[in-house]
Amino acid sequence: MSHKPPFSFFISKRTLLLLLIPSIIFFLFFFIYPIIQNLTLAFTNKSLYHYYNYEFIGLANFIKMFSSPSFYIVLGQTLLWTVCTVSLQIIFGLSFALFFTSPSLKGGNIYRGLLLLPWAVPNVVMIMVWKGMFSPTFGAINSVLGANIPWYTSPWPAFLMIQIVNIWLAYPFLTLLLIGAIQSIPTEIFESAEIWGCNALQKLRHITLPLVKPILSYGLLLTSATALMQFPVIWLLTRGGPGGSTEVLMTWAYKEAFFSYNYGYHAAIAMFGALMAIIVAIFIVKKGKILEATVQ
Amino acid sequence: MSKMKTIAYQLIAISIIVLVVFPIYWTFITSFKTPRAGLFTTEFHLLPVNLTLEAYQAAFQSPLFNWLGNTLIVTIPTIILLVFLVTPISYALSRYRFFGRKSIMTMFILVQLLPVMIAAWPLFFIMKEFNLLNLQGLALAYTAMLMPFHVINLKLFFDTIPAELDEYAFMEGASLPRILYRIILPLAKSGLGVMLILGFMGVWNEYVLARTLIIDSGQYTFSVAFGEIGAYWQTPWPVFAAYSVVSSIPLLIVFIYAQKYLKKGLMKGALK
Repeated sequence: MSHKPPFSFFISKRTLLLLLIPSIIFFLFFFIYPIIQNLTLAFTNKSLYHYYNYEFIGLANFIKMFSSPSFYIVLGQTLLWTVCTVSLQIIFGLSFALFFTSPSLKGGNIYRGLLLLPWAVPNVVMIMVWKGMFSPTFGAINSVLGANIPWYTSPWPAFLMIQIVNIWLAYPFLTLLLIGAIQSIPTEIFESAEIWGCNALQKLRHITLPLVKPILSYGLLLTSATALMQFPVIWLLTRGGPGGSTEVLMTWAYKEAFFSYNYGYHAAIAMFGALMAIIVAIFIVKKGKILEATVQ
Repeated sequence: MSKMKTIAYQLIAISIIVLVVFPIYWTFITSFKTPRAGLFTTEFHLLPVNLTLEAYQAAFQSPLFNWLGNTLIVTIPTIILLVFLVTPISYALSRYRFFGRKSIMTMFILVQLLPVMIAAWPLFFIMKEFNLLNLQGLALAYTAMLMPFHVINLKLFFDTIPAELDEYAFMEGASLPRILYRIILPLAKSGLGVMLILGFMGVWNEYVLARTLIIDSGQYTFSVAFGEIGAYWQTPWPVFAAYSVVSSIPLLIVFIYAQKYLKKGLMKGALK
């Protein structure tokens, strides 16, 4: 009860606890407790063979991970995947937002509504539809292109495929955020800039971009974390293949639990992935001053 | 010159929309093709030819409605639980200044960035202990997974409602639940709208937890079922397209209804 409350009449400790306790307990039990369990699991040898009689094995899982050559390959692929998909999402999100809010475009409202359509269809459905469209045997994409690109069986086409699908699924988020940000800039600023003789590029660089920067960094934070943790898109399209060329940390962790039943090792990999997301988050939060804005 | 510019803008806009909407359009027209024309049709028509409803007939005889029903069985309790667990804590965070308030909010923001994967298997072991490896257990897990975002989001909506209002209601003798659910929550209508649509979308789009926590194939939600179908492709493509169209309808309805809240809600989380 430190700061000045907005009002002071029914601040009894009992009321406050009544409001907080049920939600906090629920959250602790179904969210925080599993994460702590994961932390402890990462230091055990729990697996199908040691399901009940598993024991504490210290850092063995992490040593196994760091000394496995495939770890560094997977880590590199995770970073490549993340950097590519995040930068493409920003490029598409920003150019779509700028284009569809442009005053020269009539009927922008209708277009902006249609632009969000990928969100109106369930993700898994669209991932499977894209997978079918990319199919070398019956897919629409090869027949439209008139080419015979081995999307499923060749590493770079497969990488391109997961990028295209992920960007299609994810661009509405940044676009929506940035459209809102751009529309909230007062038009007077642009008008006076025009009087001073600014061209479109100068207006973009000196007015629009600085003003949307806070929202862009918030979007960057969420997009990067989601990309680092991406699982369904990659898993359902390529299963990490062909030949492990699209394997990322999450698909690797998933395989360890689902197919090798090494729950301890799985927990260690997943924890490492989570740690990476946290580092990225702290970095961007510090840069973009996001927390200060929300936690008031 | 200016007219040329207008036309150029319209042309670019239309081509972007066509490219973006193409997969959805293609699914839609494919669902009216006949599934018997070979297992998978390779020929490609921009406009549908020889419309039939055979794919839909086949889809209706499959377990499709079972999967959709399972998904609804998870969605409804998740959203109800979400409303009743998020509202009180958001209200407390918005109206009271108490010790640990900022830490709670910081925690709720940061945990949103964690991957579901780290909670999936521990949740499996926990749910197994309580015999909850079913749709009920999945609903509990989803509620917890969706809570952090919505606590912060609804708190930001509550912040915009003047506290004098609760004060007045309290003087009039209204009880706390009444103030919360009858006065404050209806005023944060956009916040509630965001909670409904993002809660719905969260459940309909989720894959990892559904895949981990549901062990009985009779209880598959449609994301899991679709993932299984796509792994083997034994379903004729038009039938799969018909599945896709039918299972998109509920989300589409919610989306059209709540779209206007979405923009406001996302902006709230970012700005403030």
